[in-house]
Amino acid sequence: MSIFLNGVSKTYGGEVVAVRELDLKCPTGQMLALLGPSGCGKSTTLKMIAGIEEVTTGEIWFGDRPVSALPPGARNIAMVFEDYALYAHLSVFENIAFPLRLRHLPKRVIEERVEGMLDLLRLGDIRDEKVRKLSGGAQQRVAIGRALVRDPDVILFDEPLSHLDADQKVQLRTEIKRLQQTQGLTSILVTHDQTEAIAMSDAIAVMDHGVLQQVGSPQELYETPANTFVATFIGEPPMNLLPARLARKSDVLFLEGTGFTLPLSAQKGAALTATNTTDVIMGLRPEHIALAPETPLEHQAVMRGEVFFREHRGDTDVLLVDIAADGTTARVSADIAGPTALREGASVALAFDDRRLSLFDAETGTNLLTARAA
Amino acid sequence: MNATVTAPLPAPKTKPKRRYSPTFTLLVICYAILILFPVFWMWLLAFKPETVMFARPTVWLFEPTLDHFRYLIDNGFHHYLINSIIVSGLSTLLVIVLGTPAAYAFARYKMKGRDDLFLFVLATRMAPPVCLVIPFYLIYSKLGMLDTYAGLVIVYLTFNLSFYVWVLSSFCRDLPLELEEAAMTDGYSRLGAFLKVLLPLLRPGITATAVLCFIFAWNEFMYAFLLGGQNVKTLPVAIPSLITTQGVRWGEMAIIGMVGTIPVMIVVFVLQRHIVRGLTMGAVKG
Amino acid sequence: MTSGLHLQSIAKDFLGTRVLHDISLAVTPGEILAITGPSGAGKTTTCRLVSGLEMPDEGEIFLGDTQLTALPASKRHVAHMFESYALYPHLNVAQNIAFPLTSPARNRRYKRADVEAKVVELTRLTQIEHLRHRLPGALSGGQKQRVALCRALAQDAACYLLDEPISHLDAKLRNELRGHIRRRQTKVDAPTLWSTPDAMEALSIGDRVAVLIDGRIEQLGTPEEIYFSPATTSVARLVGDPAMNLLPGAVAAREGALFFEREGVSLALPQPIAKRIEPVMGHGLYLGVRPNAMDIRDGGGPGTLQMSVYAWEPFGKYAIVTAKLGEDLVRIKTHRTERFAANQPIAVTLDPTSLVVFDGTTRRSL
Repeated sequence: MSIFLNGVSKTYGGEVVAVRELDLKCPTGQMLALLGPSGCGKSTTLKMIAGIEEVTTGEIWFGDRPVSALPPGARNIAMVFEDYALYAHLSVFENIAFPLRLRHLPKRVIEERVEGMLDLLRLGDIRDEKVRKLSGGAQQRVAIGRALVRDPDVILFDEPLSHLDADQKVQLRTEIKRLQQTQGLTSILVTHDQTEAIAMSDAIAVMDHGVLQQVGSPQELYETPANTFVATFIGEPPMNLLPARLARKSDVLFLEGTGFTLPLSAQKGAALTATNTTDVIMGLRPEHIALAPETPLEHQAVMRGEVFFREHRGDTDVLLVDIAADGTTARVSADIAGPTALREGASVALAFDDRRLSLFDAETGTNLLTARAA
Repeated sequence: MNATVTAPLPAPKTKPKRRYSPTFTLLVICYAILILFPVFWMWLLAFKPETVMFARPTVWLFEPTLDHFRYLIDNGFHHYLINSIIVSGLSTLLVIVLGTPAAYAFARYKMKGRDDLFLFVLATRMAPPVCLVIPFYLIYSKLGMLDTYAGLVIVYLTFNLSFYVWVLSSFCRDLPLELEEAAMTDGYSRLGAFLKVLLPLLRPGITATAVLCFIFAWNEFMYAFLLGGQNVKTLPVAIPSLITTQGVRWGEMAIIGMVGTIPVMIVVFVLQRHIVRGLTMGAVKG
Repeated sequence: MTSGLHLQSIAKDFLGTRVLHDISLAVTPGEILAITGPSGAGKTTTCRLVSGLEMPDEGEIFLGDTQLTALPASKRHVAHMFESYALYPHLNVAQNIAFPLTSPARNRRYKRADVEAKVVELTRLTQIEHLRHRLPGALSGGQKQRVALCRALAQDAACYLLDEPISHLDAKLRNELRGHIRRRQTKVDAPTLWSTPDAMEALSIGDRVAVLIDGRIEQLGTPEEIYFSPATTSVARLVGDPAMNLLPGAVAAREGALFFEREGVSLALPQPIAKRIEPVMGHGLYLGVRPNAMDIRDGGGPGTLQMSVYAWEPFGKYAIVTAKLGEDLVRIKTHRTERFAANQPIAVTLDPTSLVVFDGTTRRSL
């Protein structure tokens, strides 16, 4: 059952706009993540889809069925909450059976469906445990079981992992992803954690201040962020945003910033012909920066600076490097295969090229390389 | 670099905040008039000359008179007012001074039998006041405390202290323990932490509870009547003397009614300003 | 004359249950010791013992030559940042930060201008300078956390305790603040304890890292030691992004070489590891394989493991493929960017030099 949001807005008291003119669709069997900082309107959107909040203007459709006017109970949705919302005094089995018992299904049918769910979620061994004795991860699996057992059209996940320890988080997000894909669940995920959104969903809608910033696959968002907000929100460590200028010298477009000058390839130059801005923001992912080789390659720029902080990340080192040139300084983070021997205070030369960098308008923050195509 | 793109916040819609229907507004106004009329009538009586007080039909336009005020002052009623203020004020002040540390101790210190003791504190309030009035009278007469300020202040202290401790200690318990712990690691002693951190946060609770104690003492009649006398006569005790052999002095009674509502009005205003339930909001996460 | 913070065989009971067992730590001035472990492991309790909010049931705590356990919290001169922030709601941001500086214990030392300067410096560092006159109630969670952090760092304390100091900040700021705090704390003449449930954060900030699990120190060492040679399987399960895979199996000797064997898997072990395994021949063991020590290869071939894809998570710069090996799930961090569908069979190679072996019963590294 696909989900459509058609110009959905939510205002409170006629003044506070929580969500503004939202157009979204989530195809059948896919998971759409609503991602953004707190207060961006993602939870409000989820509540409108669930029917807990009314839409102010716009429409929500499930397949060919308009649901905006329906109460939550009539929408055939299931929700998974961040605090699990289980019946602590009941067993795993009874928790999952609960929605079926409410519907007075025959005992045999209930047993069959709950057993199926226990198998699917690998909860068979603990079927008779009281849920309050379980770990957070196991509790959330029970909550998912309770949501799925009555075969909802749409399943809504509201920050399902935020109360879990790191290792359980990683495990459960894989489980949810697997379940969602093998069972073909149409689902919406609300999260403020970009890692969760990327790991679990087919498409991500990034929101800020109630406005949709970009929607696309995790790869699209990673490779071609629509603006600087998306750029810094997706990716860990976040993308470097460095002020730079575009300068044309004898038909070659140069990018000049703090401590570097980078000749842009003809391809990039062509993409920029439509813009007449010279002040830009260069977006450079830390993982696309390397330690400079002895002789820099063509189309490669080198920045020299001093290590401000070296963060040990096991297989990589994230270096925060202070670049100082022409009276300005910039702090660049570089994610370098490691461990390196570089420590705070060491001087270092960083190299990058123009293949994977993004350019944003310094004023509006929109991506100059994709804006033209859009 | 903080160059994030924030979409311009939409301009505020011109839709007004909230509009009630005229019928609803009218209904509310009628209700307010209904409720406020007796008060208005009382104020009117305070200034109405005796002659037109009960005239039929009601006289709305009259020459205001201060005769009733004059009568009250001539009969020493301002002394009674002062007595009431002294007794209620002093007892409330003592309640705050003695009760606040007690409430804090009950909320924070772990000691043997604390919960039993706490219940006992409240139990002193459980007996109907009338049961205790005779013991009080006998004790006071032996000690020569009848008709003294101290006598009445102690009586009100007895009743209010238990109530105050009980209520305020629940306010104390609502404050996160981490606040004091933080203050102590920041270099303050327990007393310092109490004075610098807890007390300012308890202020709304203290104000509200103390005001309730004040009102109790202000309105109290039985003890003031039996344990007081010519020296310490409070306002509630003085009112019956307005029922004279020549009839009831309605105008004077109205004035005392007006004066009596003043502390209640102060309560309303003070409560509105000080009881900010969310004052501790933001102290700790979640 | 000793210096630094010493915890000597500390034990702590709550309601008859021992929550900390035999904790011994030494932190030198200018050193940051990161304590990491799952929630409920005793990190916060350890901090509270040092600051004097709890008393140990056994053991002593020394700061230099001073026996801390004999002093009340207000005399210990410890800067404690609470996990719950514990901001004073009636004081604004600047007053909150200045509060410890004006306490009776440190009253004489600061002039008003010094306090003001410190507040400005720290709020600028944490990017909350513009909020200095707000009350805590008007701040977001991340902003409150930064106020609490400033309040701790503003003090010239004899010891700093930072309990989850940056967990609620966004990634970019977190990254920068780690750098700033590290610079600051390595310059002061006082030890710093940094508690965090995020093992990777502990590795990135600490000069040394203590892994605390169920009230016991499982491992204490440099970040490199913790990452590359975890002492027990529980440490291995915590460290890494994602954490190390642990495969149960057994060792068998064939043709003069040692093999790691389990259902459907037979893996020749390199010489250096084989030597260490010999004492436990025939016992069960766990093979620890880091996700980035594996890769997916087209087609099969000798030395590859046959698995089927369980789930695929594309992170841009790499992807995490969760695959099924028998009944176990294995996480592989690959730089291959194509999509892997559920249940797709894959052949996985692994780098034998980075394997870690754990005893099957003691679960300790061999």
